[in-house]
Amino acid sequence: MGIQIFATVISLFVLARAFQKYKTKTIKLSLFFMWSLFWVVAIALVWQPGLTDRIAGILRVGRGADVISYLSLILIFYLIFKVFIKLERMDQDITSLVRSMALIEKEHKDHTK
Amino acid sequence: MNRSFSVWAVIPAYNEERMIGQVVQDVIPRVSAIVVVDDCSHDKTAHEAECAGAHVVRHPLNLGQGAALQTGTEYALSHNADIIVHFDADGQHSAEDIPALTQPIQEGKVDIVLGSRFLKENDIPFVRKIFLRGAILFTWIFSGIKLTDTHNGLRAFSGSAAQKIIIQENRMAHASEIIHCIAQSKLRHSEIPVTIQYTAYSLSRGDSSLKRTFQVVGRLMWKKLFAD
Repeated sequence: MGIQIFATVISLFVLARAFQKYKTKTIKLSLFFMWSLFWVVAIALVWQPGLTDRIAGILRVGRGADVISYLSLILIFYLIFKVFIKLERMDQDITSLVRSMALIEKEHKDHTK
Repeated sequence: MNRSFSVWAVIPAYNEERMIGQVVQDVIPRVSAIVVVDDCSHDKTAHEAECAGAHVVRHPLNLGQGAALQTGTEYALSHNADIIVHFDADGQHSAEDIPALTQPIQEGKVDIVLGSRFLKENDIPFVRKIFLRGAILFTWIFSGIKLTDTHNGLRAFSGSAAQKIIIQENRMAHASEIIHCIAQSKLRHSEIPVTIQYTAYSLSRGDSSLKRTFQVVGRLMWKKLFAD
């Protein structure tokens, strides 16, 4: 029971933080929904562990704990992929910005000569 | 130098104060103009290049050789360059190869001429030779173009070809990216033998062959899987 309460408090805390970030427009509505769904499902599974066994039965995985492991792994890979894409885009934006600054600076220097 | 063609040399440079002045002086008689792109050096690279007679564009942040080449190419194109020559700043290329590099483009035979160190006798360190051969095979598989040297920084483009090849790989993978672009745009290309001087200085520059290989392969795999 103790671990269930602890996990719920943590999940609710993260949910509250996500809501706060959504309110201050730090994250988009879609991301807030995704995180909310994730943590609501986490709370549901903490209080109803039998659910994972039922899902495992449907997916023919074996144990409920295995389903959680597999799904967590998929989610982590997906998030890493998203971060990589975002970094790539930021890298391209910085490159364009630095290039524009360098060329404008040079043109300015040429004209003032 | 053929006066009817405006030939621009693009030289990316990072902390090259020791060599850049000499390199610019060697190249200047063989081209119409030179643009040195100082990739946020900590030394006097920009000053030395400017004193030697080059146009200097300075990146306020270090982006990498590929990004510097693209910046220099854009600058040269904005000054109506007909032919653009990529040239290294560490003194390993020979300026005497430039006329042979630009001639086929001036004659309208090809759009791009790539320098090859394997088409003539060059004293290439053994380990580097192994990695370069691997790169040739790798690039052949990825782009479908079989060349004798894929990672030679000495190359020339016609102005129209340079407009089609937009280098997006900021660091060392740009060499493979250029070949990939040549294949995609179906640009006419040829190779000519060039001299590469492996001096203690040029060998001390840049990352190790192994590290560079892993970086390039990683970048190309990533692009092939997710970006193409």
